[in-house]
Amino acid sequence: MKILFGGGLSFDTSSIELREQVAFRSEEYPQALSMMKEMMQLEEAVLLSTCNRVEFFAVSKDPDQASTSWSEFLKIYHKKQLPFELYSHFYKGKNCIEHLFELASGLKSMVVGETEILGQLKEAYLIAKKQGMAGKYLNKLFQSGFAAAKAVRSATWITRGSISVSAVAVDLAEKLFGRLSGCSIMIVGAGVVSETTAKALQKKGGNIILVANRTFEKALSISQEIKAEAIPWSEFPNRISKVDILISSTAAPHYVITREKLAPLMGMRGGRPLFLIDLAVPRDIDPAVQDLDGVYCYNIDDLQSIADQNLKDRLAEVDKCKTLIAPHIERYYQWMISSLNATESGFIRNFRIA
Amino acid sequence: MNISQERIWLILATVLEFCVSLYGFFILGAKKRTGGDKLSFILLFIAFFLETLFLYLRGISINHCPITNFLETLAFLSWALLLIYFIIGSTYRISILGFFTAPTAFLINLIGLGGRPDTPKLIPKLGWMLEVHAAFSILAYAIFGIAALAAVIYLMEDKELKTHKLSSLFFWFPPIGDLFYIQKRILLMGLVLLTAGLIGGILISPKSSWDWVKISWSIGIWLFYLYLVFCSFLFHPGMKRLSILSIGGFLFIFLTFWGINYFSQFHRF
Repeated sequence: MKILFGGGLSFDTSSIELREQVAFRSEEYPQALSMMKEMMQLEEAVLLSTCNRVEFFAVSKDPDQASTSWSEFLKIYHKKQLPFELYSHFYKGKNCIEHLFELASGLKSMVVGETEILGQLKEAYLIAKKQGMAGKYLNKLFQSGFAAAKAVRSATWITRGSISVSAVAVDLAEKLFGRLSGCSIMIVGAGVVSETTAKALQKKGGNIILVANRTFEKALSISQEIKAEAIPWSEFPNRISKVDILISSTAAPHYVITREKLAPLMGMRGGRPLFLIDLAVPRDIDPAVQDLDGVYCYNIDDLQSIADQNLKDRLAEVDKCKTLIAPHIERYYQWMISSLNATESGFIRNFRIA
Repeated sequence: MNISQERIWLILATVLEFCVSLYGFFILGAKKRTGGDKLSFILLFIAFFLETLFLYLRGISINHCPITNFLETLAFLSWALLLIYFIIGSTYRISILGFFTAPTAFLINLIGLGGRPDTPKLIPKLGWMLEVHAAFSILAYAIFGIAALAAVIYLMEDKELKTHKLSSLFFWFPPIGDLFYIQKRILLMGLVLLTAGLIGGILISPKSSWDWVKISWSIGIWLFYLYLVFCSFLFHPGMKRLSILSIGGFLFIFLTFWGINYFSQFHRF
């Protein structure tokens, strides 16, 4: 009697220290799948390894034995003698279908609604398929899961709005300028968050052109790393008219950008909006600049509160997503029952384990 | 087909515009993600087709560009609004503009249908220049109408970005920088058409009986938009100011057009 099941380690049951011991690179999948098939006596299998989970989806005639062997497989493959069985979780039958469909839809991700997991699942499935490890049941399972994820994304807000400070800054920049290619960015001061934010903007096509710091050498060292121009501290206010996005995070105890300094520069911008991101505490930018036409200033609290609100909005969509996934689960489940009925009639009642 | 039968197509178009307006309120108000923008685009396109049919049939009936009475002028204006929306909305991918254009076109048609009796007016034989004058002028007003709607969207988006309170509507807004360029360009386009329309009007007017009330009003409008276009291209005024002026300009045209025409011998409906 064939049974669909799956399991493994994920962020909600195991620590990162444990997960990193058993992570697989995608090029290791074929070898790992062959070993899994032999050790766990699987008929079909897909292996998934991401920073948040190391899991498998499989079809076997003896899922209990296979579940026990999972821990042994990890120990032997990675040559680590750790109690993986204590931190592994397993799903059978309908629960396994539900787990995969929710996983593909981003509902089981650490960052709810993230879309990276779908790509990772697709890659894992394609590798297994290429190796002949995804057969009748897993092929249909993954195709149905991808369809469910697509339906969830297009009919709900689960992926809407970013939930990290740097990603919110990117979203806002795109709302101001459209495509970021051609947008120029200036970094004032040095800080980890400001560099992360600048790099996130750069990844979307933004062009970091200027770096200013009170210590010119520090500005020079950052600018060399990101291939931008370092400018002396005294020059930066006059260069604001040339940039679209300014990220500020200095240690200054007072405002370094004020309304009075900015107002005359706005007329030189040809009507283009100016996006000011103030990541410093105490703040670098006088909030009164917001009164200037075309100036949009966000401090770290503003960005964080948007990120928090977006997360709340995403979580509020989870129930709606589950309702949308339910018919997909039921359809696959019924298909599997009838399919198993056709081949293994008489044993089907035993399949309803979950 | 007689005149009352032709109106059926306009009534159907108006009903469709009303449906898109209601749908727009629902889509933009609800925190729901659907393919609403595509559906509204299709429905508005059908409404546009029906209005085209009405104007075409009316044009054949009266053997003239159908801008001869109150209803025809308003129907032509709402048709032109939809036309400009399709050009601007598709070029710049602003689906939200459709949700603002639909209620505007609906209200314009409703006023036309519920207003004065639909009796075509006899037009003096002044040739094609008269039709160019009327059509270009109304098209220019429609462009100013779309610019005003883009300005409304700009002000709403600007308010959300300034106050940092992002509603579900925020995700429908186009990039605010794009709205600035769109307004600049369509204001220029409107000014060019209005200039052509006014030149056409001057060429066909008998010099002995120039209609000074209408001419003063038209030149005032022309100067106002010339100022907006010059300012936006050369002096870069604040976008907020430009938007407020753009909305004010179109409201002024829409609210005074009928009164001014009442005092004009050649434009009275």
